Amino acid sequence: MSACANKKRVLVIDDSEAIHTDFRRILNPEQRRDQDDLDLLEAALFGPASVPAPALVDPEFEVDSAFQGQEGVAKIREALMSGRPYELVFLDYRMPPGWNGAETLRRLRAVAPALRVVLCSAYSDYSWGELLQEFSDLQLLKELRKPFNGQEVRQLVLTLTTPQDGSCAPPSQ
Amino acid sequence: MQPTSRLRAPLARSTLLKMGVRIAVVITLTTFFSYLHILHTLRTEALAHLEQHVTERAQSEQGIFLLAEDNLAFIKRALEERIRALGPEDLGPRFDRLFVRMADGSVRSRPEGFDGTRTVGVFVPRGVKVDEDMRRRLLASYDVLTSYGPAFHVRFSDTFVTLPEGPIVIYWPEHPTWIHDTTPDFMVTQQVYFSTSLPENNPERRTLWSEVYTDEVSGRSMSTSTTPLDLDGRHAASISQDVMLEELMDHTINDHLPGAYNLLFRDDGTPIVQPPTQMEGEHLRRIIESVRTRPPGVSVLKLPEHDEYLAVARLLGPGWNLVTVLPEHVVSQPALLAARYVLLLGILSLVLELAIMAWVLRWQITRPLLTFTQATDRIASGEFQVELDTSRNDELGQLAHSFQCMVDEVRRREKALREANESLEQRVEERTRELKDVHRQLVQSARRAGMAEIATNVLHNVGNVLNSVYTAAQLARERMTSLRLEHVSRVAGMLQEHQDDIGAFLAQDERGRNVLPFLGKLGQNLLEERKEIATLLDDVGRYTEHIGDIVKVQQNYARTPRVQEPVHLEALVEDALRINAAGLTRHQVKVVRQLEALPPVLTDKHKAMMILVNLVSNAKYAMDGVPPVERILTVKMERTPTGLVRIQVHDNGMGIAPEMLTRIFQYGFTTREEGHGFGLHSSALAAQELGGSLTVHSEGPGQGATFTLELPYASAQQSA
Repeated sequence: MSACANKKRVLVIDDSEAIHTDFRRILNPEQRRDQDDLDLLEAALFGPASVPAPALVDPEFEVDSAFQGQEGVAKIREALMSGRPYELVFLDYRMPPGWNGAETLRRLRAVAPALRVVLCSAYSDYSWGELLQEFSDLQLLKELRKPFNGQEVRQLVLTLTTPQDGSCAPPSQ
Repeated sequence: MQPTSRLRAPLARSTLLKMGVRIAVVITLTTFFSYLHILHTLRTEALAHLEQHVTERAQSEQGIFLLAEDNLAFIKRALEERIRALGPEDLGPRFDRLFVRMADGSVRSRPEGFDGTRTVGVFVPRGVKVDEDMRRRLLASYDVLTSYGPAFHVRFSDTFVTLPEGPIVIYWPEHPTWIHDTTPDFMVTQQVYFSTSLPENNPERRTLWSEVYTDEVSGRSMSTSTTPLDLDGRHAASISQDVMLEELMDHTINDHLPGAYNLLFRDDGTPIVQPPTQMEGEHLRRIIESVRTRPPGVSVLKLPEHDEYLAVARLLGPGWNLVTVLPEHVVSQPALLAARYVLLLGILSLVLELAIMAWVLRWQITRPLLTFTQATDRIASGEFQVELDTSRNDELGQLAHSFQCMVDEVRRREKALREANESLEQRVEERTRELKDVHRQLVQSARRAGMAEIATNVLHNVGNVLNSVYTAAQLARERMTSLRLEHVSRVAGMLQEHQDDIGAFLAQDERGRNVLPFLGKLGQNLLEERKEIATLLDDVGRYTEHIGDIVKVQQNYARTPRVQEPVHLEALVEDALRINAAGLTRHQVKVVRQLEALPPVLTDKHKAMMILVNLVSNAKYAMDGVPPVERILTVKMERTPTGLVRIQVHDNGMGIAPEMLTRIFQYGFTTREEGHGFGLHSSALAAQELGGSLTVHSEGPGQGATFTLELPYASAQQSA
């Protein structure tokens, strides 16, 4: 089992419970029970060629939840210390009563300067331009508008979690 | 415009008044002191005059008495000489030739050829023995009186000699016949005046004066002076002269100082002359007493009981006291009169002075000042052509000059001001118009901002829910796509292939043996998948409904135009809470409702809603600093006794500092980072537009806050 390749850690910071559910549904689809049995029977019945293999391509994601900016930053720090840092963070902009997105991003950058962040909000009551001016690295900051669709999110996650240099250390044994 | 005509206290009048009062005081004091001075002077003068008067009077009055005494002394000597000089011839025939015994037994002068007006009469009472010695004394007396009597008659009415035995020799021209008329038994020695010459009554043998008496014969008031003549140690005769007191009395009573009166009394206090006016005995007694007990040498004294001055002089001779009584008022009257003159003159001069000063003030001050006032009025009315007398060299001239300068300056400024004003008016008009525009925009912005608060909430909520709808729908679709439905037809095809030996195929064929278990598993799998999809679609339905709710609420309040309509306030409050429901839940705020059931009221539903949403939202944020378990939002609705509906939104949050209580409704005021400061501002505006008010109350920071919205209670049922 490779934690690096298959278990990419993603943190969702949002004050809405439903959004967390949405992310899990998209990034962490339930394991189909009896899937293996059915696949074996299917192979036995129709031959191995007919079995589709999309599961091999989809990496697995470990989705963590934080409901406030403070909590999120704390989790990021914790993950760094334990040697299993997050590869991507989804950050909501409106999270009363605590820090808003910009404030959280500012704190987050102090902890993890290279962490990729997707800022998402349902209502654009912030200025994207101003944020870009402050956090100039476009490679590290993306925008996602709610409502989003699963494919879009999945694509975004795949793009952003695939290391640019492709160097993903094999699990050290 | 006549502000000058009705002054309540003109300068001239007040000046005159002040001066008049001061001068009047001076005059009063002057009058008083001059009165005192005059009184003193007059009194001194009057007393001196009084003393002089009484002394002079005494001297002049006593002359007659002294003359009488001198006369008597002279006669006494002459009589003595004559008695000794008479010879026998005289005593015999001459005596008889002159005197004769009458039929009644008395001896009198011979009546034939007797002229009483020129001749001395002799009378010897009946029964008196006429011996030689008596003859000698009678004849000597006759001779002496004949020689000197007429001479004395100039001043004295009579001169007579009385012998102690009873005869009398008298020269009395006023009563020439008395000597023959008197009764033969008339005894002169019984008369009062004679007794004073008896040795026992007059051991010093002086000339003595009788008290005042009324003569029986003449009926006149008189006093008799009598000198005894002793020869050879024997009382030989008494020489007397009468002094008529009528004159003295007349003098004493009538000849007095103005206002004064005179008194004459003896040392023993017997009054001789007293004023004819009614006088109390007590008063008289007191005067006599104070004169008698006065210290020696004092001639003027005061009688305080009766406010009188007394001047005393003694009449030499009878030794009587002449007293002049001067009442005090006689002295003080002239002083008072003089003082009155002083006062009158003072008042006259005061009036004159005031008149002159009034005239001077009028011409020198009031008139020029009036000119100034008129000039001021003219300037005030915008007329700058004023002519003032600047030629004077005094302060008024200076004032006129300054005034002229001021007028020029004012005229210059007025001109500049008018010019500036004209453009200013235009500018003000423009600015006013601009301000009106800005204000209208501001009101609109505020209104929009209030709506934006709702819109933000709605959009955020809708966005979030929509996200879940998308996700759930997409997953459902993916699940649907990945359903292994094609396997069913493939298995059916396989079974059709082995239709003939289906039993063997299913039981013995290597592939066929798997068909049944596969179908079973597949069916199970499909059921599960369907269940999953159904769950996802249920979610979609639920979320969609949720969005529908949000939109419906929003639609209710976003309708235009906004008009008054019957509104169930209780439902409105519930809606406001529902719109904020997500936030309230997220913030773990506990909501307490104290809502009185009210019939629908007529109001602008949208505005009321906006206000309530704002208030609830603010309250929610205000409680961020409070531990979640303690966050309580209380919404209270009730009717006030004053006919209003009162909705109170109370939180136990951060509270408001007193200085913020007024600022909190200002445009752009906010304490939150994301706040835009429109909420309370537009809410307060909206409350006013609804005919109500929005107020806030807080005990201070940390004490929570209560926002009170009061709306007019217009029952929809009544007006409908």
